[in-house]
This record gives sequence, C-alpha cells and structure tokens, in this order.
Amino acid sequence: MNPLAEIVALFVRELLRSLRSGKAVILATLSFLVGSALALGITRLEESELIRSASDPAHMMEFREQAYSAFVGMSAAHKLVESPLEVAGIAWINVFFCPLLITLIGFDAMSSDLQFRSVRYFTSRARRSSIYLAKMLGVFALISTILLVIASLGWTVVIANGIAAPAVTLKWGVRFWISTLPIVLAWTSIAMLIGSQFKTPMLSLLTTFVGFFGVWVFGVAFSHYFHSEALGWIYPGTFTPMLITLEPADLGKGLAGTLGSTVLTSGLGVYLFTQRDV
Amino acid sequence: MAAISFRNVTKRFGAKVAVSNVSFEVPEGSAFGLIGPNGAGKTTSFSMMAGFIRSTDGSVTVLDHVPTDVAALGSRLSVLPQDAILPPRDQVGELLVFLANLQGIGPERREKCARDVLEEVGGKDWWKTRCGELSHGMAKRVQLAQALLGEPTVILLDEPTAGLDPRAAHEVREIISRRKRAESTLVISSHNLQELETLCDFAAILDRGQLVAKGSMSELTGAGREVIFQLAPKKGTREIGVVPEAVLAAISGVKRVLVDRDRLIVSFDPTALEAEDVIQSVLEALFASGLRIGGVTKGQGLEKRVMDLTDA
Repeated sequence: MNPLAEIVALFVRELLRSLRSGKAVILATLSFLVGSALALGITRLEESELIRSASDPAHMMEFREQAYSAFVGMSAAHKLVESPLEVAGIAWINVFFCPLLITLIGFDAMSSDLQFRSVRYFTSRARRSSIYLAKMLGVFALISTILLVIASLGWTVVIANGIAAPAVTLKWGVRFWISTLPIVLAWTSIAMLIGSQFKTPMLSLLTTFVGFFGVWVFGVAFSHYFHSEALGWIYPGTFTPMLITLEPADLGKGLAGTLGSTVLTSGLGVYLFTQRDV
Repeated sequence: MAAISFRNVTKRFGAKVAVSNVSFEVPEGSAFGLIGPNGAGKTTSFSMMAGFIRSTDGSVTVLDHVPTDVAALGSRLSVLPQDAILPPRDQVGELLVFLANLQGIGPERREKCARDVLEEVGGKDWWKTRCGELSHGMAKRVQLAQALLGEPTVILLDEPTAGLDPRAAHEVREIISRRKRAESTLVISSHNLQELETLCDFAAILDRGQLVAKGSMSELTGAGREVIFQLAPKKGTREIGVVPEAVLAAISGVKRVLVDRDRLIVSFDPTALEAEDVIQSVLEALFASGLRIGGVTKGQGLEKRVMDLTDA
C-alpha cells in the first residue's frame, strides 16, 4: 500500500474513532458552551453598541481601522475595515482557545494505543510515519471542525442581532476560520510530538499542558522581555495577524512560520516514533 | 534458506540486558519454537522479529528485510502479539476488514478474507461484536484471526493458547497445524512445552537472555538418539524383573544402556539405527526376558530437556 493511501485509510479510521468515543459528546457540549459564551460576549462589544445606536458608518469604519491596526498594522487594517470586528474576534478567541482544545482532544491520540499496545496491530501493516501523520491529521480535522462549530454559533448571533449581513458575516467568518487553520495545525503538531513520547495518557496530558505553557513562556513572555522576534516564532499564535491580513508578504510569512513549525515538529515526531519501541 | 535470521543480537533496556548476543535461524517453511522460562528473553526476541522493538546490537532480518521495513514485507509477515489489546470500540468485522485493507488486500476480497479467517477461528457470529465486549478466549481467537489474514509467508504467534480453556486451546492448535501444513513459516513463543513439542520442527531455548540450545526438535529432545522404556511391575508384585542389559548393549548401534529405577534408557548411534529399529529390537529382548512394558517414548521430552538447560 502506498504511503498516501495508508495515511488516508488511517486518517478516516481516526476520525470515526473520535466521533464514536464518549469524548465526542463531551466535546460537542464544550463547543456549544464556548460558542454560546462567545455569542453572549459579542453582544457586549463596543462595536455592537455602536451599531445598535445607529452610529455614523464613517465613524464605524474609523473605529474598526483603529481596532485592527493595533493587531495588524495600519496598512493591513485598512483592507480589513469591511469585516465586522465581532467576526474577527471570534477567530481570535478560537486561536486563543485552540491549544486547550488540542490538549484535551489530542493528548491520548497516540499514548492510548501505546499504553495497551493496540498500535502493534497497525505497525506490522503500515509505516509508522503514516500512523503518526494520520493521527495528527485526525486531531487537526476534529479541532478544525469544533472551531467551525464554535464560530458558527458566534456568526449566528452576529447575523441575528443585525450586527452584519449574512453574506458579509459568512464571507469574513469563513476566511478568518481558514486563516486560523495553519495555527491549529502547528499547535496540533507540537501536541503530537509531546504526547507521542508517553505511554500513559495522563502523563501525556500533563506534559502537553506543560509543553504548551513552555511554548507560551518562551514565545510570548521571553520574546517580549528580551525584545526577541525570533523567540516569538516559537509561539504559533504570533502568526495570527500575518495570516488574517490580505498583505501577500505577511501572509507568506505567516504560512512559512506556521507550516515551517509544523514540518519541523512533525518531522521530529515521526523520526522519534519510527525509532522507539512500541 | 532462513526465513528469519538473528545474528549476534543484543537488546538492552537501560542497564538491563534482555537478550545477549543471540544467533539462530528459522528455516523457511518450518514451525519454530521460542522456549524459555519467564524473563528468558522470548517476548523480547519475538518483539524484535515483529519489528515492535529494535535490537541494540546485531541484526534481525525477516525474509531478508529488517522487520520494520513494512513496505518491503507488506502482507508477508503477520503477528499475533501476546499483550496487545484489540481496539475496544471497533467491531470485529470492521477491524479485520480495515487490517486487510492496510495489508493491501483488494477491496473485492477484503470482506471475504476477513469472514474466512473469522470462521476459521470459530467466530463467524462475532462480526458485529465490539472488540471490547469479547471474552478473553474470544479476543484471543480474533487476535489469531487477524494474524491469519491474507496469505502471510511468516506468522509470528506469541503465546497463542495462553489463558484459553483446554478445548479452545486444542482448537487453536488445530488451526496452527493447518497453517503449518500450508507451508507458512511459523514462530511460536510459548510456555506450553508439550504444545511446542507437538507443533514445532525446530526450536531455540533461551535462559536469562542467553541462547542455551537450538536445533531440530528431535535433536533437542534426543528423540533421534535415545529411547526410554517405562518398565511395569509383574502382575501382583512390585518387582520389575531383571533387565537383560548385556543383551541390549550387544545390539548393533546401541551405545549405552541405563536402568534408572523403573526406566530403561537406551542411547544409540543415529547414523547406524533409527529409533523405530531400536524400539523393536529392545522390546523383543525385554519380552523374551518376561518383562512388562508400561510405555515407550523417543527422547527425554522437551520439558526434561528445558529443565536441564535452564536454571530454576
């Protein structure tokens, strides 16, 4: 069987396995709760207040440009003024919460199979690299779907409250959601690298938390403290502003950063998994 | 030609040496036993053959490939791991079809292959049963079924009858015997020495990570050079009678005659005689002396041999 066919077969199995597990119900509930909280938050945003008070559209655009420029710079902010802040906020919150979701969903992707050695039924038939990548992509697909569900709840509130028209909301919402996917992939890859080193799911969970916190400490705290841009590249969220802009150079940097991180961490993960005893 | 080759293989787990400088070959088409007490290194050796773990030193090859080379070995190597739990949420049929898919069995044959092996292990009614709902014995059979999927050239079986009731164990042995006749190379790791003696043509005996003996089952048990006669007491007495040792020693090709209480052990030159010739000649001499015979066995039996070779 060729490697791609192996990955596809194992990926589909991973998805089915996740959907069948009790975790799926818990995650669906969690998605609904986070989405609902997000929706309530949206109605409290200043822009929503401005819309409700029928503020001048020019004032609105100015307000948005200022808000966006704090994150993506003035030039990119100018191109984003058409997008409702609430919709961008949903994407931002998704990016903020995705490491937590990835930890909760992905921590046992590999370790549960290693713990009970079920993985042995697959390692004698499929390349270990295929097993690893399929599991990683399985977690990525699940997280992406959950984030889409959470965002959809937020978009519904945006539309229902008349904050933005359905077409505008969906256009920008889907675009922002797609922009967050490389970040989700980068986090998933880090989680898989850490989680696949352990045979005990609980240990894997705790270490993934510690690992993610470490990434934040180095990529955000130390990066600011030492004024080091390079340290910031460790933290996938650093690339969020670059990915949501329409500036090709920034988008390229954002993609290079997140995909580079993914290739590096998943490459290391695959190497370690092929070398380890199962 | 060797289906599996171990050359100076050592496996360490940290400071612990699980297998030390072990070399042996598994002849193609044979049934090969891996024998030894707990901690002997059987499962470690088995796991290296299956590609689950890598050797620290030396080389292991299966059909001239390293065992982790799944692309090269494809569906030619299959494994029944002893302690690997079947994915609990998968239905049995669905799992077997999926594994058949990974083995490269075409979509038109997958389900039939899966159903055939499930029927072969007596589990055709378990198709829709979740693996987590199977009893230990049922799970063992499903584990065996997945190892029999397709037409593997080499089948590795780790403790295939462990934990099974006598009837189930007998049925599993029958299945293995059928595969043996189908000329697959079988490697069986087991504590059940009687089972291995019956099923295997060759074996390696391990103790504390070292290889202490290897060869054909006949060589290991002495079946090709020794016959043991169980002497029975005469009717109504406890007396066995007098063994005509001089007569027996005079049989051409007989090298040694030893009487050990109620056992008569006759060693012979395998190049001059076959065990059957020795049995016939010795029985004639014993009957002529009025002795009664309770039983005859070729060689000492694997159990005795293993007990002699391995430490308590």
